[in-house]
Amino acid sequence: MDEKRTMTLNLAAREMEVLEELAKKKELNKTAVLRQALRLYQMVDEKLSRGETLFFEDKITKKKAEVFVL
Amino acid sequence: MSRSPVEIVDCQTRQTVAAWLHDELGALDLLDAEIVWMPERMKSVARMLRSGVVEEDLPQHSHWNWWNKAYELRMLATGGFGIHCDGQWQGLMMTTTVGHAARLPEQLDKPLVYVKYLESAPWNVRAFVQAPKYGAIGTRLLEAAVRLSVAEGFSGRVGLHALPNPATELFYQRRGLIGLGPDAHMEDLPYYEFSSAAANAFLNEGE
Repeated sequence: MDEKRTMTLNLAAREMEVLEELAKKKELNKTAVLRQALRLYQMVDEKLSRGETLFFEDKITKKKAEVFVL
Repeated sequence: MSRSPVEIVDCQTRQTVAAWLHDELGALDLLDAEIVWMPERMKSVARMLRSGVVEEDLPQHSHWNWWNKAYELRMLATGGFGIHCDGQWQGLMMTTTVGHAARLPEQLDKPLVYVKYLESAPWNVRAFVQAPKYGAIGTRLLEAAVRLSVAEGFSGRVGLHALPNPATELFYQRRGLIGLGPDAHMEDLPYYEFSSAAANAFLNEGE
């Protein structure tokens, strides 16, 4: 495995609350949630850079909404 | 690239053989494997076609090309694993930690390690050769997927789509994965998943 590096992360109270909620919901620690978020962000960014489009689809209505990622 | 010792099985003598499990494969490793595997696959396919096997009955992974999958290793979410023995790659696996969530009711929507591709070298696959050289390759790679899941904090949860043939599905069932039927979003490939408990039992079995 890669050598681990440490950083200090400053989050607003609400951001920390969301991080804690996600960690509880996904049964992960906060570091794992942030690592997952980074991986997902990179994957989406890579696909968008290749000209692909990201959609959310409503399971019932099948209506699609395009997602834009900065 | 880090590696750890594992044991595979010589299918002729039934003796265990020392091998290395590599868990950080790069694009060049996949290319090295494909340089050797592709001609072997093609020779087997030609032999099968000459003996009267129709194209639809060829092994579904006859057309796989690991080099074409190498770009995926650039993603942080992607893991590349391989078993090396006798100077050659004996099996390869690619995993991802994003984009898939657990489907079993007791772990619904929880994160898991998803096995995108898993393949033994052509000379180890009964569908390609009458007398496979090494066995236990798939089991060792599946163990690596479970260990990755544990290390990521996913409690051993692993999901995958199996190639739809009885031997492949039986392989996963025997190791404790639960079949959830064909997946309409994945060309109707059968979906299998390790519950946390089954994954840990599977790991303990091998130790």
